[in-house]
Amino acid sequence: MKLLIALLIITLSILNANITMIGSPTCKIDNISSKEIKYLFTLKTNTLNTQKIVVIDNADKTIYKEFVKKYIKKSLKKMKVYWIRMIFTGIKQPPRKVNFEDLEDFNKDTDSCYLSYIEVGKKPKSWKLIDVTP
Amino acid sequence: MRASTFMYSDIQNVSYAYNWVRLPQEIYATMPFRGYDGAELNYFRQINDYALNVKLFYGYGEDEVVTSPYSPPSEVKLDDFKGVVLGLSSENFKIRLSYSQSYTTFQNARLDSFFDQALPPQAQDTMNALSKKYQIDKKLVEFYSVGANYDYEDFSIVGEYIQLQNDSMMPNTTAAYISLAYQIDTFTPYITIAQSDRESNYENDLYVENPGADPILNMYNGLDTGFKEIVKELSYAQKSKSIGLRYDFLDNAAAKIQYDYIEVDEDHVNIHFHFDDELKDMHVFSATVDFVF
Repeated sequence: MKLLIALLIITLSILNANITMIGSPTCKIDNISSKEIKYLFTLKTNTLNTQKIVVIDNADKTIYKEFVKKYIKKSLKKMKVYWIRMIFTGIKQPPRKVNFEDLEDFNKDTDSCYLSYIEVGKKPKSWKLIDVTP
Repeated sequence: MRASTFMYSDIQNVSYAYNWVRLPQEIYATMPFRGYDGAELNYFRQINDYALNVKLFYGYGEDEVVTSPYSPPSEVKLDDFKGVVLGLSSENFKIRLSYSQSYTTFQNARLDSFFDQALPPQAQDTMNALSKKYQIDKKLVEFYSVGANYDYEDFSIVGEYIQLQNDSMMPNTTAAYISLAYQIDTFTPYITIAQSDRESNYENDLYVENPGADPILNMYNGLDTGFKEIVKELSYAQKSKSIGLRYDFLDNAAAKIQYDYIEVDEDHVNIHFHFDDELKDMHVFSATVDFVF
């Protein structure tokens, strides 16, 4: 039984530990809730604490898949269908997908706060970690 | 633009975006035209855990509709086409209400020749009155619809109910469907039941109960039969039970197979081949590959 619980804890920690939220140097936020992440990355809102936020998806499919599952709480198929509906009805375009190595290119724009997510340990030097509150 | 009459109207041609091979025809075939020219106003607002969407649209539409392989396509015109859509959604639930109306004109060669046929002078006034009352010439056609979708873990249930109301020879319609899907990784099996009912507006104006040997009265009954045949061609009503499977074999591609068992009521015709009123029960097998890029 103890072994089973230990395995469960290890499995859960592996599943949850891979992604961390990051923001560009101009971001004035230090923490963000799971609900705010969902609204921002489905473009239902684009501001947080009066600051304009531009969200960027991770180009790595595995990271993206884990992010969608963890924060958007949809399957990849449903996420794709959501964006198809938005694109074909002309309502909105999905966020850009960028490799984490290229995130610092967005530092040139000092007017906007760019928000993205990465695999733990791969943070661009000038970007900051953002805590996720439940 | 696509008219937002029903829940999937605006993405009707993007079949990757839904599980079915084709949308339930009991509802979606009632709006035969493909698009309209006009304007849409969309308003979104996030209120706590709910997203509110209000859409207003206005425009003009014109399209050709094939009603029979044996006659030229019919022309459908929508004047003063307008409507409103209200949508409210939460994380797993969505409800959508809509109303739309248009002044509709339906020009069909068979219909025109029926109303334009040469008749004795004493019957011409009756025919003119019949044409004014029933011909689909800038007649008000209204659509009401309510749809809802609920996701619970890997289950998804969606349903819609619609009503079409008008005062022309086009039968009034009520239709509904409900569909249940269950996603197992890249496979999504689903079942759907759908039904449409049509009620004719024709009040047997031409029918004479005891015509005797009077040639004019017998002619009226002949016209009555002819008119009922035309009305019947527009009166497609059916019940269908469908089972299908969607397989998302790539990130942007899905293969689908679907089987439909379709039953047609005695006094109606089926949607797919409504020019053939002998066809009452149908088994339809369909397969598609959909992809987006």
